[in-house]
Amino acid sequence: MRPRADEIVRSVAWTFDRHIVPDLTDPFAKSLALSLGYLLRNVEQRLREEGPALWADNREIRETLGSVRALIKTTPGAAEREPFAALVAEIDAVLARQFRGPDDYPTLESITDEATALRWPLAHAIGALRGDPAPFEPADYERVRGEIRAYLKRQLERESRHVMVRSVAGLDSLSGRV
Amino acid sequence: MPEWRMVPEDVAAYFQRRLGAPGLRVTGLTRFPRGVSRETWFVDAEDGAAAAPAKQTYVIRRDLAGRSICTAPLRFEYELFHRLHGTAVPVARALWYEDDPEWSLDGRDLYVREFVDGTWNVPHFTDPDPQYDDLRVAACKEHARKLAAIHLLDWRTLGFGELTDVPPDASACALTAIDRLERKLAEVQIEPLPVVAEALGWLRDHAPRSAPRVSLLKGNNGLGEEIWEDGRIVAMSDWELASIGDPAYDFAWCQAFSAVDIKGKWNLQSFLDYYEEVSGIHVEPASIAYYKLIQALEGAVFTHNAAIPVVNNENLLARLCWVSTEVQHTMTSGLARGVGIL
Repeated sequence: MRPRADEIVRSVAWTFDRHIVPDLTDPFAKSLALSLGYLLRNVEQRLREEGPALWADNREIRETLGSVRALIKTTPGAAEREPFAALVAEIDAVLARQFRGPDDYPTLESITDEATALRWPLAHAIGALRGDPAPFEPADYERVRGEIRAYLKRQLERESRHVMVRSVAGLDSLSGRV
Repeated sequence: MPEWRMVPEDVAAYFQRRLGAPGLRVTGLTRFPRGVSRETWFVDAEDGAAAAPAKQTYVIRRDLAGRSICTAPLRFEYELFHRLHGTAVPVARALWYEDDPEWSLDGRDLYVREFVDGTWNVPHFTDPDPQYDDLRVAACKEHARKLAAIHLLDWRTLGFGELTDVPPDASACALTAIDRLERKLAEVQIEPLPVVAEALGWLRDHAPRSAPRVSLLKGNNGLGEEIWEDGRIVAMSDWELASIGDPAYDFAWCQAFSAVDIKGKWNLQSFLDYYEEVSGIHVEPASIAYYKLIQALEGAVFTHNAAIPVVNNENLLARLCWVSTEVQHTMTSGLARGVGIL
């Protein structure tokens, strides 16, 4: 059905800016209106772009977790000692988990849940590898650490495209919003 | 007793009882529009004969509905104001802290302080016209003097060590700040933050092991965070991010004054030189650069905390959504740039 949800949100933002905000007089209400104007643009962008971004993100983070797992499993003794034994178990559990059936539509909620579940072991892997690099061959260790940092870069860049409001004609800068 | 709300009639009844002033009237009740951390309300009160009433304006501070999004409790902020009053650091006098559920407004703790007349802005400070260059330099010097007053304060005698984490010595300032923020994040975290996890490791590895001294720090400071009148800071406000540590951290937080750059006349180094002249404390720009990342870490924790009231349906104020998404991303990206991810 047209207009789509993102088009409706854009319309709401446009109407809000032109027909509601100018009539506001209370300073707190005016300040909140600025926040609302930005948030409406934010929602418009997220409706369009968050799903594909998280979909790509989930695919990449699985590869990164696989590399962490392989590093630990192929390093003699590493998988038997903590925190790496617990980390491998956590990675195995999340990589085996089904977040939706094979024929189910990938809802934004299920993709978000998947992203959250996958990012926990990554955060734990970062702490574990940084905290105890000793068991690993330096070249292997640096390669996996590099993969993690490259993933983080791409994740932030993707997030930036739908979280940061790119253009709001006529509205104030970030500092003017609060 | 009925539940008291933040409306003029109830606020008047509250002040009448609290001050033992049955004739007190509230003639104005205004919510300060700026800020996201806590609510600030101005209460205009009159007491005595209607023909010549005694007028007084009070300030009420309280957490947002549901919970505080600050990393330190409201009581911490009250104690800072309470203990700073009468020192070389100008602050509004804190009058009382209210945690009696029978007396609270909308069921929330609050504290009351005196209103200090002035403005958060320095007129013409941001006007690029060179005729205001001297004004800019004068404002920077005034702010440097006030930062010096904070940093030279005998915080031990005033009991600030009871309120927040204290570095065991100057070499541990950065690590103490990281420990404090990591602990707070663990308390409030509702989703994984891998970039923050990566940054925490980097910050520990690169923590400066020296600081000029261990000082009380204001946190948020600079243009927009203090009260000015006639070119002077008459009250330093917004203490919710105060801590104890390296004075360089306050320069990382400093808004506008540390960014003034007037060719051949004033820049960050001039600001630091003047501060050193009045305080005897030497701050390295490299330390400020490091502490800007601690600031981003603190921001990432603070803004993550802002998501919780919305997710838990405790407070649906839309501004919290903005803080916990776009501002959170800004903080995290700043960290990522600083530690070489971006």
